[in-house]
Amino acid sequence: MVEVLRRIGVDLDFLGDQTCCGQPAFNSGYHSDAKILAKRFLSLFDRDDYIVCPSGSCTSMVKIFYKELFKNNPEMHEIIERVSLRTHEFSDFIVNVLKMKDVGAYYAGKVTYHDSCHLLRELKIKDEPRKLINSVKGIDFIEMNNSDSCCGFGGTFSIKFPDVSVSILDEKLENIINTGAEAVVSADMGCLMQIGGALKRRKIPIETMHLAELLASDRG
Amino acid sequence: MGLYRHDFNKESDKALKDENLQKALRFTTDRFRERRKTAIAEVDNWEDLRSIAREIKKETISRLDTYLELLEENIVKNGGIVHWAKDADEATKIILEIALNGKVKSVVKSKSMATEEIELNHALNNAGIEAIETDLGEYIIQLAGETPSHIIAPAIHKTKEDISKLFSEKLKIPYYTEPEDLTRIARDKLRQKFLMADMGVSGANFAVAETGTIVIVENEGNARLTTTLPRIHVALMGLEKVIPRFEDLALFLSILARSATGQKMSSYVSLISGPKRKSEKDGPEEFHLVLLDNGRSNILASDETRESLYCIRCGACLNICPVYRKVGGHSYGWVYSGPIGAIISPQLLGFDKAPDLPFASSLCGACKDVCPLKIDIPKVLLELRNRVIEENRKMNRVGVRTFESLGIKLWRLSMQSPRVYMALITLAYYVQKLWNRGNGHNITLLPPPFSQWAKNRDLPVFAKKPFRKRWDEIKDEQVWE
Amino acid sequence: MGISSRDKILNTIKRGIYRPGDEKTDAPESIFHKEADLHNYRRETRTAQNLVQESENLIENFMNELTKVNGIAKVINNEDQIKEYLSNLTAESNSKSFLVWETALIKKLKVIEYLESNGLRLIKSHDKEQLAKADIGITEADYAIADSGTLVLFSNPKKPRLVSLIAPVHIAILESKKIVHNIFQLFQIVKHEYHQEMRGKNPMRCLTFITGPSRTADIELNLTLGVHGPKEVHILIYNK
Repeated sequence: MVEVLRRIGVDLDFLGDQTCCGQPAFNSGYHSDAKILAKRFLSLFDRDDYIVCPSGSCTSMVKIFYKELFKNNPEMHEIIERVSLRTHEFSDFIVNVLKMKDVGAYYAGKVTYHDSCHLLRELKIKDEPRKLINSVKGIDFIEMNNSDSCCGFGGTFSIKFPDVSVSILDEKLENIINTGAEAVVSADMGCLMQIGGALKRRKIPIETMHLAELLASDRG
Repeated sequence: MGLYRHDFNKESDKALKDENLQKALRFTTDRFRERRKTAIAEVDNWEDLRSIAREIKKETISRLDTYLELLEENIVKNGGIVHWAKDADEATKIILEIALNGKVKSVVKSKSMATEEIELNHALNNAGIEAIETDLGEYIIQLAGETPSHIIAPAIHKTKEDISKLFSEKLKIPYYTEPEDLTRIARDKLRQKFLMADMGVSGANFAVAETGTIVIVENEGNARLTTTLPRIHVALMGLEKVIPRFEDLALFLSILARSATGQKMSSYVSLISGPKRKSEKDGPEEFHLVLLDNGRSNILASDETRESLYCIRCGACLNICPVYRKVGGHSYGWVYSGPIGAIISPQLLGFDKAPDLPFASSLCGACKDVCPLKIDIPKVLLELRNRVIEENRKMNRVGVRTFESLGIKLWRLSMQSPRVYMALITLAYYVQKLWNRGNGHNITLLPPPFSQWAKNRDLPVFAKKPFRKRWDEIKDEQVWE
Repeated sequence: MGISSRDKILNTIKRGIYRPGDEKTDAPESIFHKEADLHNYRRETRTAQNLVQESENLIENFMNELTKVNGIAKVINNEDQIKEYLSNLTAESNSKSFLVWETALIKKLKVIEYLESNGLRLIKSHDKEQLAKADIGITEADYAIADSGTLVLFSNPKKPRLVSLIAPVHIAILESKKIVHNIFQLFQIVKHEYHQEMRGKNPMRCLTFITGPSRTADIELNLTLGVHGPKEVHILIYNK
């Protein structure tokens, strides 16, 4: 992501003290633990710059769920509002803030794209990644069937209900393989771990790439 | 209450291994999804309809006492009788009493999830009263001694062959395979029951407070027969189903059929306002509405989960859910399955009976998208998860959650310190070298509970140089161009 | 004796929704006048007075929708055409007995006389077993909805419920002027009648919407017609 953003002229900083937005705790029902980490995140990131994040789930935690987490703490509402407004998911940032589509990427190959659930349904980001993918030089982009169906990750769901998770994953893999693509692109690490984890285990020669990796590519 | 402590993994395991079920689930949910999509595309203000429906439901639930009192007043004006049942036991007692007073020997039933919730058939049978399900899907599962696997199509888990075998065995008839023949057999058998029955028990999709009218939506005609032929009609209905005005039905009927089966309108909608008039030639002489609480008023009391009561039981959430699609209705352990089941079963039964359900979701949010009442099911699931954790904390229960709780606490503490974080990921790199039997790029073995991941999936290795270290090296590089 | 369940339930509800400081709940009438919220979906509705209009379009729409739900519709302009239709139908289906609503229009069209002269028996008994033997049930629709192919039937002592339900064939006569566009319009019209009936001495106890024949898809999602209700629905649209 750093490579891509720098290539298009963005001046970046990375806060070395950052750890986690707290979503895993929130999703597992440990709301008080989540609040502690959320407060830490908010105070760390309460500054004037844009905040760009290569993950739909983390971004939606900040922009959507922090409000819910702190609904009974009105004293937090102002800082949440401030930080949320400046936080953007990676593709959203490039397309909607920088108003760019072509970031100088080159990948001569067939790829397909998986819509991550939080990115799609909470942040309503559907076209932006597609615009970016389509602008990659040499790309052959093919949509899979049911690209918007869940991959089965769901955070701790994947280890609490592993068989169900993999069963859902099986269908997603079927859809990916049917496109004939050599790589599947997504904008969320959770999805990529889930999909990539099975592809590797089953020795299926399809690569998994984060959208940023694709956009950083300069290979033919 | 008919549900021992539910274990989702155990129940769903059977379903995942059942090839026929997997085929049926995929086929059925695909079909319903398609139909729903087409039906909604025909309506150019679908989003408006959803919003207004939600507003009306919100308004009704926020003054439920007023509307229920009004409903009761009008039903009584129409010559009907209203009963209030605090719980399942009371509801069955009330219905049994009506049957005993009416010297009822046989009952015909039309489809009602509420009657399954209270296990009415069981109670009637114990009292020596025959209770026959007349909805074809329900009739099939009654013969098979099973519970419904889908809110709208209770027998979708059964193949044609299953049903042929079932009919031939239980009804002692030849083996027919075509749905047309099987349906005709059911029609003939059940026609006899309809004509003989003393009492008809139905559910109700809605009840209009303004006019004292209950509304039954169906396709087969069995509900019409159930509520017309026998001399006593009892309708059992969850008390959250009331709607304010007669004209609100236009909206609710439009959204129900389209969301459920993709039909513009189901074959029959009956608007029943009391028993027959003395001069009418057909219709029941007695009409009873039994209002069922059974935990609904508790859900009402919670601001965060109150919208669980907006549900009109269309089943759209089941059809879109990636989890339901794989595990089917029986895995949810009770009459209500799918996303809506995951939020109301724990609330009606208690967390000790259904502790897994709030967690058995990947939180993908597809259900929220399709719900005609815009119920934010993921939000309610998250709230319920929090409650389970808080309840465990307070009760100091020792069990699996204790480890999880400890794990989360340790994790959280580490996340509060960037130095601990760095130390941990550095440690992870070295530990994985010992543990890793993989090829150097992937981890194939993990300690529990993460072993559940490694059963079927690899994991990328922890990098030797974490991003933070790399950043220190590259942060002063020039921005290109 | 203790508090009744009714009171227990209502108390739980009240405690659950009202918070200290909430205004006392006011009478329901005030809710019924919240017109503003419903403006959006009412935009297509018309008043009860404007029933006779754009009949041709409505008839065509109704017939298209009815066909989609496996119903059969025919436009009829006079008594002879009805007789012809009935004659063909009864011959094909080998019908022997029938049930009928005695409405003004059905009397005017002399349906009963015609069928009886053709050898069919009108079942006069009220006994369920006898009624169940009927081959055809003939009613008149009070209204119909074009965009879904739906019939609207009011019941009353002269219009029993079973006539449209118990026989395998249901024939409904529908005056073309009774067809309205959509369900929202229908409810605007019907609510006035319904409220009048409810206030009167003889409230209407059963109102039925019928959209095509009885159906199920409970067996492997295979569509089968004529489960418990009629297998055939014929709608004769009387367009004078």
